[in-house]
Amino acid sequence: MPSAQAQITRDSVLKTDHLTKQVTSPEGPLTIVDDVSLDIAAGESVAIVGASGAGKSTLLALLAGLDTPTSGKVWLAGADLTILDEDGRARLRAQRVGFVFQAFHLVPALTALENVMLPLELAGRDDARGAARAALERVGLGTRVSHYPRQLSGGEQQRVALARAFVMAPAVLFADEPTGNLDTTTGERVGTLLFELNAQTHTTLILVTHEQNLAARCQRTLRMEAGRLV
Amino acid sequence: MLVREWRSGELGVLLLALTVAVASLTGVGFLVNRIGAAVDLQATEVLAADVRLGSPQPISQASLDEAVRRGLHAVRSTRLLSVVFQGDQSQLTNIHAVGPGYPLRGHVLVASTPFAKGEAITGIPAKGEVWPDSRLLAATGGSVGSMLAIGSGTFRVSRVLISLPDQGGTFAELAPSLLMNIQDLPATQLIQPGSRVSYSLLFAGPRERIDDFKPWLLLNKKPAERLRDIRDASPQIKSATERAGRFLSLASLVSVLLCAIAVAMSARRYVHRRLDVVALMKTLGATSGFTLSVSLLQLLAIACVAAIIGSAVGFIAQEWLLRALRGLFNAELPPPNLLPIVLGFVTAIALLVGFALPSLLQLARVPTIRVLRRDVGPAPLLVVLAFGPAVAVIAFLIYSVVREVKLFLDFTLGLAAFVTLEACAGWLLVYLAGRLRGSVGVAWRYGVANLSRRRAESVLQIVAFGTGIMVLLLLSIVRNHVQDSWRHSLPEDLPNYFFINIPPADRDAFVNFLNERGAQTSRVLPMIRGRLTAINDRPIEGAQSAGDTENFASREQNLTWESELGADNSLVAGRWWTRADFGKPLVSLATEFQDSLHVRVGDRLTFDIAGESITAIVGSISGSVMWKSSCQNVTPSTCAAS
Repeated sequence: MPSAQAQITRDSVLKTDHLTKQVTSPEGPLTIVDDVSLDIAAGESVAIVGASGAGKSTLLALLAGLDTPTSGKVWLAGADLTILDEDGRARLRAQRVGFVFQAFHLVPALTALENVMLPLELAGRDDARGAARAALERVGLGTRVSHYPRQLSGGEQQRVALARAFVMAPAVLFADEPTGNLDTTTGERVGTLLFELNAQTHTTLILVTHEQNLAARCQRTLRMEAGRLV
Repeated sequence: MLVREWRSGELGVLLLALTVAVASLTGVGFLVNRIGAAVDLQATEVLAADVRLGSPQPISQASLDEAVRRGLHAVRSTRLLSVVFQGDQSQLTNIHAVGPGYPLRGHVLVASTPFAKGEAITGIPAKGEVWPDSRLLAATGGSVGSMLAIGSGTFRVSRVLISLPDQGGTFAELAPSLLMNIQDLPATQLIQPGSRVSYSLLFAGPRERIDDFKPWLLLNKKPAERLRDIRDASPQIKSATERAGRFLSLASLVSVLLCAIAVAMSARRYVHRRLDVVALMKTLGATSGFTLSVSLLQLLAIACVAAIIGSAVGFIAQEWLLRALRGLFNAELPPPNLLPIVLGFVTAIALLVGFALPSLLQLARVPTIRVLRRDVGPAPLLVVLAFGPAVAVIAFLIYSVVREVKLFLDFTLGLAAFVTLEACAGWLLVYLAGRLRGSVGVAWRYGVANLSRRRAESVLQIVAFGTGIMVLLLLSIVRNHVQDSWRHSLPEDLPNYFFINIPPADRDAFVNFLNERGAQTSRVLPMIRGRLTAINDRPIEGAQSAGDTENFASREQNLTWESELGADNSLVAGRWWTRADFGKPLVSLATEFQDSLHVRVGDRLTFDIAGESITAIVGSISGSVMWKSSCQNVTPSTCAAS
C-alpha cells in the first residue's frame, strides 16, 4: 500500500500509518511491530490477538503513546503522537485515555478510593473524591473504599482498576490482558463489567487478549503475527 | 501525597537518618554556642567594657565625645604603679583611678574586711576615699577606716576591694590593687613628665552600635593608642574553646557522614521501589515536571521535619550534657542563639541534596513503557551527576567544621583515597565471589549469584558500609590517640602549682616549707620586670611585631637569670654563657620573640628595668620544650647572664 499521508476519517479516534518499532538485541536489530496501519472509529471495540511475542503489547504501547515508534505515525484523538514530547503525550493521556493492566497496577500505599482519585487529581478535577466514590460504587465496591490493595482479592483489585480507568470517561480505553491474572470465573465477571462500562461511556476500547471468548465480544478482531497485522 | 508516601513506611529510614544527623550537629552546635557565649561574656568582663582604647599617653576627649554622641557609655580609667603608705609601711600597688560608671561590664566586688567574700557594688569610691585590696591592707597593716598616703594625697579606706573585672590575668599584674576616684588623681601628683601611666577609655553599648563605632576608633586613634575587644581578652580561653568546639564538631561530623550513607542507601531503595508507581502515574497523565516537583517538595518536607525534630533532640541532648558536666562550669551558661537550628536545617537540606536528590531525580526519568515492561528503567546518571553532589556536600560539611584549609585537604584526600581503595577491593571481592559460584553449595550459590549479578550495587554497598565502619573506628582511635599523646607529651614530673613573687628573704624558708609537706620543687627562679625599649639602639616603636607576641614590644616582660640552661630548654642559635662570660651583659631570647622582633644573635637589646636603662647582647636563642603549656619555663622569656 503506498505510504501516502493518512486521511483521518470523520469519526476516526485512532489511526496509524506504517507504524514500525525496532529494538537492538545482541543478535542485531529486532522488529517487534512491522509496518502496521490501522484505523479505529470512535466507540468501536477492537481486540488485538496473537501468540505470545507477536508484538501485541508493544503495539498497544505505541497506540497509547507509552512508547515512541522507530518509524511511522500515530494519531490519537486527533493528535499526532509522534510529534509530541513525553509530557505532551502525558497530558493527552490525562484527558483522553484510560488503562487497564494485567497486573492491576494499583498503588499499594493508596486506598481503593485514593487509587481511583489519582487520574482525577492529576487532571486537576475539584470533584475527585465524589467522582471516585461514584465510580467505585458503579463497580460494586462502594463499601471497600478505604481498603488497601493488599486487602482486596484479584478480582476486586481489577474492578478498582476499571473504576480508575473509566472515572475520567476517556475517549479511548486500552486494556492489556485485563483478565490474564484472574481465574476463569472472576475473569468472566470482570470482562462483563468491562464491556458494560464501555457501553455506558461509549468509549473506544482497544483490548489485547489471549482469550478468544473475550475477543469475540469485541466488534472487530485484529490478529498479529511476528509484528504484522494479518 | 507525602502523607500517603509516609504510610508506605519507606520514608521512615530516610527521616530517621536525617534526624540523627541534625540532632548530632545541632547538639554540639548548641553546646559550643553556649560555651562560646559564656567565654565572650567573661571576655567583656575582663575588659570591663565591650571595647577598650588604651594608650601610654592621655587620650583626647574626641573619642569619648563621639561615643556619647553615638549613644554609647564611656568611662575613663587610668592605671599606674606607685607606692602606697600606711604609716611606716609601704607597698608597691597597682592604682586604678576610674570615672563614674565604671565598670561598664562585669562587677566590682567589695567587702568590709580583708579576704572576705565579696559582694557586687554599683558605683566607685567617693572623692577622698579609696578601696584597697586585701593584700595591700595586709602588707601595710591597714583596715577599713585607715588613712593611706598615695603620692601627695591622703585617702580614707572605706571598703576592701575583693576583685575588679579588669584585674588582669597575666603574671604582670601581680602587685596588689587599689581603686580610687579619677577626680582624686591630680591631688596625688603622681603623674609627672616621664611617668609610666596607662590611660584607657572604656566603651559599652548595643552590639551593633559598638560594631559601627569600632571602625571610627580605628580610623581616628593615634598610633600609640591600642584598641582591644573581646578577641583580645582571654585569647587563650577563646582559643581553647574554639579548638574543643572544633573537635566536638568533627566528632559529630562523623555521625553526619554515617547518616549520609544511610540517607543515600534509603533513598536508593525508596526510588527503586517507586519506579513502578511513577511509571503508572506518568501513564495516567503525570508530567516529568510534576513528578520532579513532587519529589522536591517531599525532600523539602522531610528536611523541615528532620530539622525540627533533630534540633529539638539536639537541644535536649546538650541540656542533658550540661547537667552532667555541671561541676566544670562556675556559672550558668547563657542560652544559645538560633544559629545551630539554621545549621541543622542547612545540614538536612545539604544531605538530601547530596545523597538523595540524584536518586530522586531518576524518578522523573522513568520511561512510561515500564508499566508494560518492568525490565526497562531510567538511564543511569552520569557519574558526575550521580556522585558529584554527594562529594560537594561532604566537602562543604567537612570544611564548615574544620575551617582550616590544610586539615580540610588532609581529611578529604584521606577519605577519598580510602573510598577509592575500598571500591577497588569491593570490586575484586565481588569478582572473586562470582568465580566461586560453581564450587559452593546451593544456598551460597544464590547469594553469590545475586552479588555478582548486581555488581555495581554490591560494590556500592560494600563502600557505603565500609566507610561507615571506618569513620566509627576513626573516632574511637583519634579520641584515644589525642588523650594518649597529650598525656605522653607531658613529663611525669610536670609542675602543677606555681608560686610567684616570693620575697628573696623568704625563698629558702618557703621552699623548705613546701618540701617538708611532700612537694617536689622543680626550680626556683628569680624574676624581675623589664620593658624592652630599643633594638640595636633603635627605639622599639619602629620594630615589626605580629601575632600574640606583639605584647613583648608593648609592655613589661618578666626577666630571669641563671647560670645553667634548664633541662627543658634547648638552644637553637648562639651559645650558652660560660664562667668566662660572667659579668658580660648577655641575654638569651626565646624563639617566639626572636621571630616576632626579627632579632638575631649579636643584636643589642635595651631594657628599662626599674627606671634604669640596661643594654645587653643576644648571646643565644633558646626554644622551650613546653613553652605554651608552661612547663618549667613558666615566666621567663629572656634569661640574662649574671
